[in-house]
Amino acid sequence: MPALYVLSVPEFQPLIDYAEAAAELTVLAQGDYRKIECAGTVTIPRAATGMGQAVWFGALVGGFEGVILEFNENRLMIGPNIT
Amino acid sequence: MTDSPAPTLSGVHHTAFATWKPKETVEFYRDVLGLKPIHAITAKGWGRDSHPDFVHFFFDAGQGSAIAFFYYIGTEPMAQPAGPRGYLGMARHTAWTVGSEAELDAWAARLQSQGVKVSEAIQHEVIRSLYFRDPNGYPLEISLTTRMPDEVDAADAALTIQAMIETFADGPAPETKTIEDMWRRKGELVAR
Repeated sequence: MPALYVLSVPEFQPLIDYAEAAAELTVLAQGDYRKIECAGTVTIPRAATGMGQAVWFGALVGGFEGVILEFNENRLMIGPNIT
Repeated sequence: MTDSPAPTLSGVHHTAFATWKPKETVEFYRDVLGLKPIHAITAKGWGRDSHPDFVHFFFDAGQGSAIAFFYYIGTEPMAQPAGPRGYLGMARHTAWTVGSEAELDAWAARLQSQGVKVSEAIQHEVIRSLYFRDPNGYPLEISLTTRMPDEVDAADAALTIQAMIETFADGPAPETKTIEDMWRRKGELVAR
């Protein structure tokens, strides 16, 4: 299942807030991180997070599982591993 | 082995750069930035024929730190002492710190009023920064700490560094790896 790990610090909180409000995303505690996962594709639009580009482009620093389908100034999409 | 504690550092005393624009450099650091010249050394080489005569001058950068320059008399100027434009030339840079949002704003206003091309304040993870260059092309940054990193950040940094080394040095075929490989490895480490 595709997943994004987000360190639970203020600058990345908008990612967690977005995921908690998004019906298709699940947020799980993982130590100091939150694991954002989805049965389909983890999709996070930057505009909905309000994040500036300098931090947004570091959004994957916590690591991930799956395949990055798209990661640009507009959107992050992580899909399932192709098996 | 010794029982002595590991030595620690107390901050930056100075960093130093070569310049072939001594007048412009002084005018920039002393007059535009307003940093006081606090020390200057002039020397006949350093006793070696191969070492040029020089002026080594220091500007106060606060809290006991300085930024310093060497003017090597009679030497051929480097075309681009700061390195090429772009990311390589930006990598080695000086970032000073300020203590408040108002101070960061005041620096932006001062630089603009002095005709220095300065960036907007860029919010990074834990700092907000202004970017500009000196007359030699050396990149400069003035930063406000917006969140002091703590042990959670340090533990995260340790995992990122582990993922970097395993991906780009110690693991198989490191030259073929991408940042996506490193982020995937980081995810594995976080999930443990």
